[in-house]
Amino acid sequence: MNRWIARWNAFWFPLTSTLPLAGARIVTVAAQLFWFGPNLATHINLATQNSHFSDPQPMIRLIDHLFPRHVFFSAGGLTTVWWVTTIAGVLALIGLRTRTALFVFALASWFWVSHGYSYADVHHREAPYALFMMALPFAPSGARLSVDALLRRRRGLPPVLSSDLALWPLRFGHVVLTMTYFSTGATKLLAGGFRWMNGYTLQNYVLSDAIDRHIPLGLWVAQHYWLCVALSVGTIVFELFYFVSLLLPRVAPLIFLGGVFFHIGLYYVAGHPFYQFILLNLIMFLFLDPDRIPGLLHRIDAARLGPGPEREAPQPG
Amino acid sequence: MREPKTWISVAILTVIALHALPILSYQGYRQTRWPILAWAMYAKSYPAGPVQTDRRRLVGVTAGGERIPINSVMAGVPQAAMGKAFIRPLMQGDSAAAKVLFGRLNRDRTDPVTEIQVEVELFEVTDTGLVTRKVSPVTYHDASAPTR
Repeated sequence: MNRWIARWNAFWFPLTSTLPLAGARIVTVAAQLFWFGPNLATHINLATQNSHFSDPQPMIRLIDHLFPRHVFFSAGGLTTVWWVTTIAGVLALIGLRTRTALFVFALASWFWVSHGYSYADVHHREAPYALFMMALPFAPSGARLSVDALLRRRRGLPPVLSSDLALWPLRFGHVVLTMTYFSTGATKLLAGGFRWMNGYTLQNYVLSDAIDRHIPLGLWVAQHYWLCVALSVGTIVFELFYFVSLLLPRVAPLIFLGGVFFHIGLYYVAGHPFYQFILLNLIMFLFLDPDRIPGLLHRIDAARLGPGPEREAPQPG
Repeated sequence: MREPKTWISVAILTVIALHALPILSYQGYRQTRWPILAWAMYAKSYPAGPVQTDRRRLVGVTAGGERIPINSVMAGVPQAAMGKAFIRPLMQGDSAAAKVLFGRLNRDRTDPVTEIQVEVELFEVTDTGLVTRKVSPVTYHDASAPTR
C-alpha cells in the first residue's frame, strides 16, 4: 500500500518550480477573461426570453433552488455576476489575492457555461478547461509572477520558489484531456467498430458541418473519399493513443502539438470551435515540463527576484 | 487536520470516478451534468452509400408580407439549440412549438409574424460535384393572428 501511495505522490506531488504554474495561471485566466468570456447580452436574452430552464445543469439547479429566479436570472442579477467575474478575473491575472480571486473567477466561469447550457444545448469544449481552472486555486498559483509575490518580497519574506503542490493542476489537466480523448475515440469504435473509418462516415459529418457553417474547405474535403479515410484513421489513432503522452514524457510535447494542430484542422474543415482544447494542449506543451518553460518567463521572473541568493536553483527533474 | 495533499487526492479521484456516471447512466445529447459529460459526440458511423445532408432554416412572414430569417436571438435559445428546440419539432408537426415561437417573435413586434416556414435544402456529393435540391417548406400559421 505504501508503495502505491509513494507512486501516487511521486506522480501528482513532486517538488517542482512554481514558475510553470504561474505561467499557466496567466495564460489560462487571460484567455478566459478576454477570449472565452461570457456575452452578457446573450445571457440576458436567454434568461428573459425563457421562463424556465429546459435542461438545467447542476450549478443552475442549485442556484435556482436556493434563490428566487429574479436574483440571478434577470438583467440586473446577471450584470452583477458579470462584474464579479471580470473583477475576479483581473485580480487572478495580476495575482492579487490570487487564490481567492482564482476560485471566484473559476466558479463564476462555471456559472456562465452552466447557464448557457441549461437551454437544450450542451457542448464539450469548455469542460476540461473548466476543471483545470478550478484546480488552480488549490495550488500555489500566485507564488510567482504576481502582485502577491511582490508584496511578500516587500514584507521581507522569502519567495516560494518550489512546492510539492505546484505540478498537480497541470497533471490533472493532462489526465482529464487524456480521459476525454480516449473516451471520444473508444465510443466511436464501440458504436460502430472500424466502420467509423470507412470514409463515408467522415464525409457525411464534414459535409453536414461545412454546409451548416459555410466552410469551403470542408465542402472540398467532403468530396474526397480517400482523404476522408486517411483523416478518420488519423482521428481515431490520435484520440485512442493520446494517453501515450502520460506514459512517455519525452514524446508528450509532440502529442500536445499534435492536439493543437488536430483542433485547428477541425476548425478549418468543420468549424468546430474547440479553442479551449487548443489552449489546454498548448499550456501542457509550455508548462507541464518545468524544463520547457519559455525563456521569457524566466527572464521576467529573474528580473522580479533580482540578484542574490534567493534566485531559483536548478530544479530536480 | 489532514494535509492538503490528502484532500486534493480525494478530489482528483472523485472527479475521475464521476466520469463513469454519464457512461453508466447515458443521457443522450441533452446532458445535464456539466462539466462531467459523456464524450460520445460524432460516435455514430455511416454505412457506405450516398453522402448527403440538408440545411434547414426558419423564415417568418409578417402580416405586412415581409420575409425575415428567424435567428436564435429572436427565438430565445442558443444558436446550436435551434434544431432541438424548434426546427426538429416543427418538421415533425409539433404545433405547440410553433405557438411558443410565434409568442417569442411577436412579443415586441409592430408588424407581427403570422407565418413560420421551415425551409429545407438537400445536398448530395456526386461524381460530378455537389448537387443541391430544394424541398417544399413546412408552414405554420399563427392561429391567434387576425385574418386579412
